[in-house]
Amino acid sequence: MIHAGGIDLANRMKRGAVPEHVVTLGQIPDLCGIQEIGGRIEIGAATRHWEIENDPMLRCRLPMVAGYIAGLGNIRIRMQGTIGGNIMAGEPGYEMLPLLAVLGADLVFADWSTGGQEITAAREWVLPRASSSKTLLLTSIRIPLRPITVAWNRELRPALGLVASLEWSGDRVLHGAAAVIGDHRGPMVREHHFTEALPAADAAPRAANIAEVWADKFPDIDVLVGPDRDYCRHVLSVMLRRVLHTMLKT
Amino acid sequence: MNIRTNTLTQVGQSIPDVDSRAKLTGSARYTSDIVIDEMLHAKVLRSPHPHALIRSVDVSRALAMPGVAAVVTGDDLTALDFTYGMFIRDQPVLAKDKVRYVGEPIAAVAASTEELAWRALAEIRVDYDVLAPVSSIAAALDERAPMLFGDELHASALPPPPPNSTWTQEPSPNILFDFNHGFGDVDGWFQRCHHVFEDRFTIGRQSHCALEPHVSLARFVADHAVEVWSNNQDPFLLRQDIARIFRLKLDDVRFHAGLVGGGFGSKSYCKIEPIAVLLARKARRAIRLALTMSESMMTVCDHGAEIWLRSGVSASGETLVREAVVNLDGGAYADASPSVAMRIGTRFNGPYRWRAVRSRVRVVRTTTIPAGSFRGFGAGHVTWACESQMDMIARRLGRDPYAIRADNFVRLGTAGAPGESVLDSDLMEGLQTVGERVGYKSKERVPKRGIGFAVAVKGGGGSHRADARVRVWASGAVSLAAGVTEIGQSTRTVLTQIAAEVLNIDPDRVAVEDIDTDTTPFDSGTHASNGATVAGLAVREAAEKARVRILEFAGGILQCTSAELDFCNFQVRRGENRYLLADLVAQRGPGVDTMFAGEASVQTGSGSFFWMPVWTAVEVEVDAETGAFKILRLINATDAGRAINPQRCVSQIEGAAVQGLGQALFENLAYCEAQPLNATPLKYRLPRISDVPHQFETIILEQGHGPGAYGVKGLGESGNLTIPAAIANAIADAVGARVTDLPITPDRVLKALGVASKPNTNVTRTVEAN
Amino acid sequence: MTTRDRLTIRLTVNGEAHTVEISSNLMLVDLVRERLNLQGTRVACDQGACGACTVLVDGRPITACLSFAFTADGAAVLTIEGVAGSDNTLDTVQLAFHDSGVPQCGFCTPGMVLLAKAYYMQQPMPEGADVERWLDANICRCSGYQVFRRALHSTPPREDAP
Repeated sequence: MIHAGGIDLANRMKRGAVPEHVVTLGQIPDLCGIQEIGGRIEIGAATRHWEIENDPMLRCRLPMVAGYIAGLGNIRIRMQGTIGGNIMAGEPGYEMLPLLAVLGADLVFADWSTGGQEITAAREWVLPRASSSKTLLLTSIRIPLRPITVAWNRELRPALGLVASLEWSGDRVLHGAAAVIGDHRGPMVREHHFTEALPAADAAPRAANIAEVWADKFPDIDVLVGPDRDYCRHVLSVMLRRVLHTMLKT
Repeated sequence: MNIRTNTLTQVGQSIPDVDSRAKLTGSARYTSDIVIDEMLHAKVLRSPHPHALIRSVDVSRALAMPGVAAVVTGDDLTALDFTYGMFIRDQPVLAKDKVRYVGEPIAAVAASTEELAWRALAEIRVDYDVLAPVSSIAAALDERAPMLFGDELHASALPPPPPNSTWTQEPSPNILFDFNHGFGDVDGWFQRCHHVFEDRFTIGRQSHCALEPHVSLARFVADHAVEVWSNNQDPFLLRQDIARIFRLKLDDVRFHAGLVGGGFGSKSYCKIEPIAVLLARKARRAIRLALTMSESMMTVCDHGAEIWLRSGVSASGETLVREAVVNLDGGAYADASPSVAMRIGTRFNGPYRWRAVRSRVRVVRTTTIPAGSFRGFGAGHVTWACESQMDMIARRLGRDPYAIRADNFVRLGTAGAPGESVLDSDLMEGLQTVGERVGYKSKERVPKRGIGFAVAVKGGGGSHRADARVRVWASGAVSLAAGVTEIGQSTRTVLTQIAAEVLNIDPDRVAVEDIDTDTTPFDSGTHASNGATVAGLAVREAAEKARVRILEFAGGILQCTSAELDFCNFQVRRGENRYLLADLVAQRGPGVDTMFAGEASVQTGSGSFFWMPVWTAVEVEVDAETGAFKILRLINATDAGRAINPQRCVSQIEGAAVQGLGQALFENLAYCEAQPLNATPLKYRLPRISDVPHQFETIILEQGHGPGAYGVKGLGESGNLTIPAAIANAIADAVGARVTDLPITPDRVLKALGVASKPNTNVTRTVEAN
Repeated sequence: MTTRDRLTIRLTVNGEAHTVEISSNLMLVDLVRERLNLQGTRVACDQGACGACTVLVDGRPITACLSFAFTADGAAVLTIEGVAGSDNTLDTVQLAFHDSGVPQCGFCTPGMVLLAKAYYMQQPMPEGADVERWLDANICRCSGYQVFRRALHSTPPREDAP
């Protein structure tokens, strides 16, 4: 078992799991830290949430990412837990993967068995695979630096939430991505391509229509303890409209 | 007895809790901190099935592990009186032949370390015959439902029914208890009243989640004598349980209780103590059995419930007649359910005058966590239904919900129902207080915002015995012993203040003894908010007796009557002259006891010794698109009679209110087909500071009518009762949506909003007045 | 390393240097409570949800029930026993909690003290709303949290932040 932040490993060990080996990664410098390399941000998998939300470069380049992470879990978790742990824990309620999905981020893995590297888009990463993965070691997260706006809605936390992004060309919206947050069987990311690149001023009045069409692309959501599918579908479109309004205003 | 009440020096002071420093610096010690030399660590194997026959339990592999000292199973119970339960004893110490809920203890292991004990559990093989679960009230009442028990009645120790009540124990295997209560001509009044309204309410089950999980340590000091430490609030009741179960003499069982890390009902009555004793007997070693919080959550919870209310009122909204039918989800075993059912069944008159009331409360058995006592003992269930319906009735009649309450309140000094003790609070004063504070009449209406009220009255302190002993040493120390468990309610502080008041001394001089059933004066249990009131009376009387003994002693030396003397700061005063008690004792020479003791015992009658009222006003803002809502203001008031320590009163009521807030907003132990979904602290959502509105005020009235020392009465169970109904009423006031199920989740609000635009279909019958 | 390995770690706890041999799966809370006999750190939920076991590791509030002891190798650990002065004088946060009447059952209290203390150590310019965002991490089941607000409203920022 590979151990970085250790929160979830420790929880599992208390339920009786006795791993044969523990490999501690937290102190490997290559796995920690945040840098800007060639048009993207690279975050080491063992970087703590707290370091990400307070990183001056990231706060300047992707301020909404810092803002989103600052609202994640609680201060103890953010000071102790790592971005890699958040992703690899395989807990559907954890909030990092939905953000990375709408940012178009990639997960970079070292393959334990071959020594090679494997890169997977965050939105393709399937949670069950995470918990059963034996040979892949998450080493870093790559976030492309594109003209992008991010907004989220956590009003109905913990049952359901939403994070979305819009990509721009000048003042025109090209396309968007939205991901559902919550204790359900994810991943749940849906994109929306704007038929013609829309100026923000034209998109805003149509936000409600866009949100409805966009929300319809999502499959049914089954929350573990919480509201039924009909409600989830309804509020998904409301939350989408609200985040659209936020993003189109900025 | 000369008790000064005019010039109080200690009573009414907000001194910090006597254990505050120890708790803040980490030196406070709880039962979970106790380490006994050579003790073994115990862990419990729990059922993964909601309902199954146990064909066999094979412990041989666990027992063969080095470091494992003993394993106990249902087979070890044979020679014992092995079931327990507050009034009906249907719960085996360990499952015998059958399991009835996920999480039920089947076996327990004692090993040299906790880790080893966990691993040994994994080596126990249980062979089950899985049976169909009974996962809900409806499922249990279905004629084709599997039965949890056979037809035979369990041993019981039910008290006589309260006035105007009858009960039936286990009328059928899936019904634990059927309680009926009533007064007045119910059918006649339903004929005569102007409007009849019938509504149904449901309540999810709340988990106590006290931060210190259940823990018990046990060791045999001789073959027939056992010593137990447990973080339980009923050490004297437990002594009886352990003596009965293990067929020991009462005086061969000794219980200790120190600081308890919260309870809220989860630590009353017998819980895990017999398992620790059973292991200690078999292993012949000291045992420490510490549950995890998840296990504590599977040990006991509150009752889920469905409540039908049918209420008749006059044309003007005078409350006339009510019928209530309640099904409580009691879970797999009785625990305190019969007692909760009785409390619920007798409280449907609430804070209002009714001509006739009839109720039926059934406790239904399901294959879920046993339900037991929870802060308020069912008064929260009653209040949710009754105070919601009071608002619904007012709105249907086009009346102001505030005014209809005021019109119907039981008046101070009158009884709310035949056979009840008279009300010792002025309900109108409380309603006015919260109404003014929330600005009900002065505030302009804002769209999507609404104000809701709820009022409740809960009885407390009945059928209770509390003894106390106060010892005054001439050297300047006072030792106070009483059997009330300190569970976070500051009982040690309040009793200290009462003793200090009587003895005219600084509270710092008083030390409260930890509870040891061999030496501590008897107490029938820390329940029903009785500590300050009932034990308070005993402490005051004991301190007064000690004071009298001091003055009589001093009078003998000073050659005067004790009436000429006073006692203050360990000095005896006679006019202008002051004599240190220590000097007087020394003057008398050897052979004089340097300690002056007083003892007292107080026994309250059946019925309520006092009444705890609570008044709540809530302002909310509703998001009509999602059903989410924000609590803008929460104002909660109660009546302490006389606040011995106002700050501690506020803490109690604030904490209770936030427990009520959790119940209102999200707390609910959920099941899917008898499998618990969130019976673990990671999944079960508890209120955090961000859930609490900033405009949250607590008002402690001191109306002065309490029967306790200085006019005090208990209040700890009042603050949570009204919160859910007040919130539901505020939402209805804001957007017209009526939620009748707890918790009030956004999806329920949204669903109710859909209904709100349609004509009111809840009104079932309107009868013209004669 | 395998979980059966024994390893030696060096750390300071409340300013005192310790060298301890531990098993690799020992939790920090058990090191503190059982090996160093500092029982003020509480085990409540044991899953990281409630924060009763909060200790500071190099100034960061850490969930000791979920932290392996070996991760504290080389670190400075502060537990509740190290917060008050050597003559048992209460520090600023403790005093504010004491005066406002924070402790009820007291089981969450050490974790809450350390969480608030970490905040004042981290934030040179503390703001009322911000400390609440930190306190949101820990559960108190007895109080209505208002008492924490009252207490911390009165707590001046600490100037001796490391």
